[in-house]
Amino acid sequence: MEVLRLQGLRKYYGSVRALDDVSAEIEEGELFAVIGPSGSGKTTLLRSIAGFVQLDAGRIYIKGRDVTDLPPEKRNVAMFFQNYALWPHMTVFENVAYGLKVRKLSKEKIREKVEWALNFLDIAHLADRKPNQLSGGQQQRVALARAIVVEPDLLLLDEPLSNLDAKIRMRIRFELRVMLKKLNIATLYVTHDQEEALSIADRIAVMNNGKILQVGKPREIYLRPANLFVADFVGVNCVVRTRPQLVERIGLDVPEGVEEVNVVIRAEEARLARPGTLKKGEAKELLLNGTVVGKLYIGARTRYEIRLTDLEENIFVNSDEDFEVGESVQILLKEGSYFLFP
Amino acid sequence: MTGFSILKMTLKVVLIFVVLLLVVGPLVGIVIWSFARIWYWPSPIPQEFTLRYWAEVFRQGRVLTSLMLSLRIALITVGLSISIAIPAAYAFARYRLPAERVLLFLFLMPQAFPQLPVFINLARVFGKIGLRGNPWGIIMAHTMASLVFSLWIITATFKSIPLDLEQAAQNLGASRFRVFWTITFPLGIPGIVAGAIHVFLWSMGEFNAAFFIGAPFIQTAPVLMYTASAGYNMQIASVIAIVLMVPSLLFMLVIEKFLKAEYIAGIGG
Repeated sequence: MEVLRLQGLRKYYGSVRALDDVSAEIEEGELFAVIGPSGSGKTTLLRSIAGFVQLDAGRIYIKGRDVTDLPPEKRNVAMFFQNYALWPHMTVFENVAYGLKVRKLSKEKIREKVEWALNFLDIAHLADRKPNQLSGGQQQRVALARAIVVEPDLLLLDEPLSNLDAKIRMRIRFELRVMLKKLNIATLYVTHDQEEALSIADRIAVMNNGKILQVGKPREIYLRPANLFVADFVGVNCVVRTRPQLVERIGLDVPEGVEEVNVVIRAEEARLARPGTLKKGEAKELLLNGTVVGKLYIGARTRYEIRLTDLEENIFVNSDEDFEVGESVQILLKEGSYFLFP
Repeated sequence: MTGFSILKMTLKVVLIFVVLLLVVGPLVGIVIWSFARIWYWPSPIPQEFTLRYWAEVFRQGRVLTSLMLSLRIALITVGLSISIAIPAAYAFARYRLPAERVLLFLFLMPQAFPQLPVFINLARVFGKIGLRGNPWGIIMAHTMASLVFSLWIITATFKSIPLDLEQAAQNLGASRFRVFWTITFPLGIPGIVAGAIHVFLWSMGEFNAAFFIGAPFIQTAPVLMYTASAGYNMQIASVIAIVLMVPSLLFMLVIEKFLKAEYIAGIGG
């Protein structure tokens, strides 16, 4: 059953199109991520579903109910705020109990549910603390507990991991997915971190300039990007902008009538080797010749700047192997690690 | 190194001495005056001490009556000023009002001009509607003039509360009214208390409005002190001044404790 349906949402700030005909559906229990650079409209989308942004056009349905004109407090969606927005004058327990008190549950029922939520997130021992006595990770859990304890129809997460440091973020990604799956609450997850979205979400929408450019499973988004923006935004890439004649030199077909072609190369998947050691296997693989023009030691691997002989442009590729500046190399790209867009 | 620290030490002592002279000096003078019977220049202390004036002040009962009147006026003024300021400040802080700056500035008007003409004029107006010679006239004047303190301070406080905190409550189903009482108001208490202190102290010490609107029968403590010192009775004036300080000091002590606790509770952190 579909939990959320967005129909042609539009929001303009002056001449800026924050939301430009956005439509999407989220299924029961689905983890739906919206990714995009800052200013792409993803936060506006989230806030309009929560009711904090007035739309210029479009309808929002939650579990079949048209909530477009309802105030935020009547929508039964729970939002996780990027900076947690915990109330500093209340204890952890009171923070989590707030939504239940508003719903006029009995004292025992509130206690029972809050304890369940605190235990679920493994923060029961912090119940009597004030938010300013908690670490960032603990605050994040309290904010999450506060959102899930009211059993919302839909959970809205605004950059839930962005305020944590890199190491914790990596670990929590996995935990968060397991947690959300266990709860089976439909979740809209906004992030600018494409890697995070790929690893957490069931489906991903890529947004730019207020438009949803592509919706799909992480694998589809990564392997079959619909356009240049998606291809470039997802993964670690080099984009080579060049003339069609040069692209035809490397054996790719270029649609007729285009003046320029963008070749997107997934640098993280490119294999670098000395000439002659790599062989083009399948037909869809691509073998490029180049020359090392620069190298940079970055820890486990070395980052090489390579001049592509045919395309007459430079790209960056990481490799374990050692090459010298000036050496000729070959780059092997398998299917799905290079794309061509006009 | 030692030379430097001696210099620093000396400077420190001098600085402390100057501050003491400026802040505590007048107070000490007043205290000494209140016990003086004869005190001629250039003697540093009075030639003769007496408790007569203290006794006189308390025997007359006039001082205590005035003091109680001042206290009542100040407390009611605080109540009115704060309860008008809270909703107004919330509107200023959270909604885009037309001509917001002009409106905020309007409240400054009673304090922006010399107080004497402002309150003499107000006294004339109050005279026509029967508020002259009436404590409520003074209360109204004080409330009006003190709104600038309470309103500005509380507006700034509400503005400093992140909107997210209110939205998070609204998101969990709380009505606007509930959001205000459970989130915004408790978080704004330090500012509200600061505004209350300001209004209280200002009202306790206010002379012009109390004098012109209260005349001729209503005598608040500052007015009484003025009449006493105008008659060159330095001793009586000093005793009244000291007595007048007591409620303000108590009020500040109580409030300060409260204020600190609130800050520790989270706003500061």
